Amino acid sequence: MIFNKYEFESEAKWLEVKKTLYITEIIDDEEVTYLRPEINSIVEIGFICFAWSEGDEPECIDQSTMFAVDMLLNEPFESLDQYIVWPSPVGVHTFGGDDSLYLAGFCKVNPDSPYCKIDE
Amino acid sequence: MSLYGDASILMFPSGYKEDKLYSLKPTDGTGDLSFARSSSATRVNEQGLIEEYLLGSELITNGDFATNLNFWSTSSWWVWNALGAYHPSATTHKPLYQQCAVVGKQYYITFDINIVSGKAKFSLGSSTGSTTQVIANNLQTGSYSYLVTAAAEYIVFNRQQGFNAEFYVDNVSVKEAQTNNVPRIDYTGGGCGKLLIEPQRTNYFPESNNVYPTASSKTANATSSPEGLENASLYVENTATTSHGAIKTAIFPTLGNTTYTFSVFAKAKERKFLKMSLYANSAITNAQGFDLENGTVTDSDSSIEDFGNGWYKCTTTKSINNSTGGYNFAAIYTGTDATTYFYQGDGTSGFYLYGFQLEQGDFASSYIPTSGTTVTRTQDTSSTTSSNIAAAINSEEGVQFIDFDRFDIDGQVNSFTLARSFQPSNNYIIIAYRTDRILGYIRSNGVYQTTMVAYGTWTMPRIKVAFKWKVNDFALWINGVEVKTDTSGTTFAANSLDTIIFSGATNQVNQQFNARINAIAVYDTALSDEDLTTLTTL
Repeated sequence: MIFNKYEFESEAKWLEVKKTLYITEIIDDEEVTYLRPEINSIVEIGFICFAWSEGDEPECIDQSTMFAVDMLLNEPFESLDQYIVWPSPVGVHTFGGDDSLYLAGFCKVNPDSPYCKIDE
Repeated sequence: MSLYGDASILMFPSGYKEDKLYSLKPTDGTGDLSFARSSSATRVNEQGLIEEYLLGSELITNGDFATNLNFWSTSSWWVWNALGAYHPSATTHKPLYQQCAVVGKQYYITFDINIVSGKAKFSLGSSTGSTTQVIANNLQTGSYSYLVTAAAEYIVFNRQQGFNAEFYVDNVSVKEAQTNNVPRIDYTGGGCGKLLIEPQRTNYFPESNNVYPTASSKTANATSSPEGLENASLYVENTATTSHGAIKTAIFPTLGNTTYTFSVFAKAKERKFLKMSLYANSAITNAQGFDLENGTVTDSDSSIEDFGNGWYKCTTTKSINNSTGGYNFAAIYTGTDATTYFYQGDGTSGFYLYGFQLEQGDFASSYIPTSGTTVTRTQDTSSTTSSNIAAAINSEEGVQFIDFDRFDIDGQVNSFTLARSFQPSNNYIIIAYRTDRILGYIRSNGVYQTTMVAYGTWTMPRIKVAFKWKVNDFALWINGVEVKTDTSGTTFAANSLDTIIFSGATNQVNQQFNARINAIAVYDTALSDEDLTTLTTL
């Protein structure tokens, strides 16, 4: 199992990519849709807010322009690789009990990160 | 029970392990169901308590340091004490360690720290006491618990670097924890266990048991929660004239009209009335009148469920529009009566809250604990395929039966299927439910032989459905009543059906059989009307 985080330049771009993650067949005039076997779970995070205003009624004052999506993969899926991002573990969202999956991937790419260093 | 005894395949949710749910029949194990879920999840256990992990036996020896430090390696620095293992003042690395883990496995680790000075650290490490996987830095006095995937074999306690630390360690426990792929036998509401199959859901509360007070004070760990731990919070109103309770701002994603379900566990103290409020796009949506003494609620989109020991799970389902992405919140308020939630507080009255959850969807799913980020529980799936199971299914005639508690899932076809692993889209028998209907249909060699749809509003949640198939003799039974018949159609050649799946025949998106399942059975003969009446009567 692989836990990856992705960002897309717009929601429209994500929706375009999302279509490629499903297989749709027509069987006797019936549309049948499956998630590709490489993909296990998809969670659409959307536009992440990095900072909120002070006060009683906080509003987002620094919002990402990128559309964020978290996925669990059963196997690598190369066409998604160009959209992978590596925020510090574990970002704003996780799959229950799967933090170590993300950390494993993160530390392969960022071996010198404080999250990956051996202490003593 | 004799009817169940006649079944060729029979499953009551009881025996299970990681990846597996055992069937009572066939007795050779060929009817056992595989099970998968790629995340952790909670259930209500036999004691009525919320539980997240399937825990193994204790792996630490002498974790309570009853009379000595036996079985621990101590670098000759640690000393036994009635308060536990004692680490005298030191600025250098003096580890206390014990071998207990296998690299790659997941463990639930708990211990107590009592600090005299400085701070402590907890890690996994090597046979020399060196630390290779730091779990927690800067520990102060308290009880700690961690779910850890081991990258080393030893647990290690030592001082926090940079401190001259003096402290005690006590009540150390390490148990293997299985979270993912574990079937959930759920005991919500008491009675027999039910197999819980739920859709993917995300809890938008990033700290589900640590929500800010508003016009109130909050005392954490004030009483025993539905988890059985002392981790429920007490919220006490201040003396302002306003709304008092708990609030999480900036919680809704930027989306147009979306159905959300908001739930929380609440227990009365001086205050016994509760209101749930959701705010976005400058509009407030309220659900009020939750009565924490009588277990009632006046709002029509809401429900209240007794969780024992004075606790109630309060739930409301509302459509919320947060298209602007501006100021938004989810809040819980106390009331002085069923309709008054804006009042001058007395500075002393309050109530207990635990386990906040906001999720997209039509019903409250099982609790998803969070501690710093939003968390997703993924879809449960279960199925079995084998040539041996084909022998237990009479493809030419028989009865498919399921006893389950429905969820109110709008737009989803929840399907329980007998299929052919080869060409599954052309050969199957399906019992399915939607919010307002029960379906039974057969497709053989690519042709629908019968399609039965029964519309109705059966009493929620429990329902028993049987589907009989035989050449020119099909029937759909619900709760003791034959609701549909069809006297035209063929079935399958012998041994065609070799798969049981809690989803559509082709495992389509949004066809998983989400429900609490009491029992499933398959009979190798078309049962009589009398037997079908008996089998399906609640």
